[in-house]
Amino acid sequence: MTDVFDPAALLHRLDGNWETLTVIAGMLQEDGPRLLSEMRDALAADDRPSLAAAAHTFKGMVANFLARRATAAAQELELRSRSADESLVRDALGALEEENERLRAALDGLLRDGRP
Amino acid sequence: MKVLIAEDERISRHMLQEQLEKWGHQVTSAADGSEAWEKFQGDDFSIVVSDWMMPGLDGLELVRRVRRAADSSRYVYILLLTAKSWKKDIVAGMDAGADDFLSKPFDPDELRVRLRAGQRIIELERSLAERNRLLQHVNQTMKRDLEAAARVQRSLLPDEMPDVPGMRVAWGFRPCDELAGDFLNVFRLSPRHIGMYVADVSGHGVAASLLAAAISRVLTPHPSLTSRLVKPAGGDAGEQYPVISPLAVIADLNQRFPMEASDDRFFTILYAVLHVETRRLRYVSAGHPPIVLDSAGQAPRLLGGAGYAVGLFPDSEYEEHVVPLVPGDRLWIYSDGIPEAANPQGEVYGEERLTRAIAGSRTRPLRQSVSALLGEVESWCGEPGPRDDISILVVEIP
Repeated sequence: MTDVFDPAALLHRLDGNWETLTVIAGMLQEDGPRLLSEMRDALAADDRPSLAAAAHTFKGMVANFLARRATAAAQELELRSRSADESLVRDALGALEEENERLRAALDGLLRDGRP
Repeated sequence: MKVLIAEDERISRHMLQEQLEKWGHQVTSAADGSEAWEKFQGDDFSIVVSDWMMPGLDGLELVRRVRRAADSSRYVYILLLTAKSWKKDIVAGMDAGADDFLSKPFDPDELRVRLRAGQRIIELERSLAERNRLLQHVNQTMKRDLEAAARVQRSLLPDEMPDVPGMRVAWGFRPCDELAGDFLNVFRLSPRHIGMYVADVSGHGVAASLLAAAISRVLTPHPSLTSRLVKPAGGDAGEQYPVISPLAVIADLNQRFPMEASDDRFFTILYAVLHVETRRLRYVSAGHPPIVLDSAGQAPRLLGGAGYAVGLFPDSEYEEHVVPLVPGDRLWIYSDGIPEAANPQGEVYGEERLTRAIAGSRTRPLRQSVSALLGEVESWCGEPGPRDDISILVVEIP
């Protein structure tokens, strides 16, 4: 789990507030897939500015969990969204989807297992 | 404090709101820049915490609008949340009006201390605003008092000219502040004597005007035991209330108003007594600019005699002069606010210009001549006008 995010550091950032963690984990479950869907639609429509904006928002969202890999993947997609090579953009989006899934699973595990 | 959050990302917005409310702030959240701008206009927020990149109205534009809208009585502290870290971006943010930055994801401790810095500034600004309000109130009170004092001072100026067959009088008075150090008067001293003076207390403003008022009370023509101008007994023969000579009047003033007892102020004065039948003018000048005598068919000339100003030295000696006046004569008594009036280049108006102006107004009625001279000096000085009081008293033997 710690390669996805550091639970102790995350709880420290939330001042040990388990209820807040539950709330924002629930928000991630809703907003993560929604933003990813927006990115896929934007790529399909070749709307690069919208793709970049959604990636930027996703980056800010996952940074709240101190999720370094997911944050880095979102940053990579935001940068690559300007690339003329669509395959690079697709790869970056694919990597982001994987990190989102890892983060979601790690959070589920934390909430299930209780305090670290 | 009332805090407005502008953040389009839901989790960040939730965490910010929760953290700020935990610290006791009243928080309003907006999901984008436009909503934030609407809410800002509907309430008086002290602090705005805004994301930079938002759809539609972004953080930078929100900052600009908040700055344009904020009135001078209430400062709004603006914190920009951003992942941007390049110097040029920070410069752009602060140019737009942001006070500080916080990088994302925000660190609660860093947010707390940056907000506290903002609170200090806001509290300082509120304290300043309150002091300004008090100062304005005090200023307004002082202004009203000064205006009232100015009205009292103007009431001491001659409101009617002595009705003397064969003599005309006109005067002009222009203080440079609300209260003047100049004062003048012309009055009947006796059935056969007219007294007149122009005086100038050093400096101007409240202190000078108070001394001017004190001196003018002493120089009252009303016969009494305290009058310095007429006495119930003694003096010129045949007078019910003998007139005291100008020399004795000035010498007496010099004893009564030493500088040390008058807030280190002295005054110049030209005091004259005119016998209306003989048209003999007796005068004493105590440090005052010379009389200009404008006689028909001649160039105006300066009359001599100027001792020390009153109050400078207790043993000052003065000289009384006598001038016989004839029909056609105009006698100009004035304060140094005229010859010493400086134009924007620093050149003074001077006695030469004064005598030229007097000669040029010969054919005009007396009052018009006085107004014309005042106007000319004001034009000479340019904006914002003469820096010293100006007094003019003119007596004409038609």
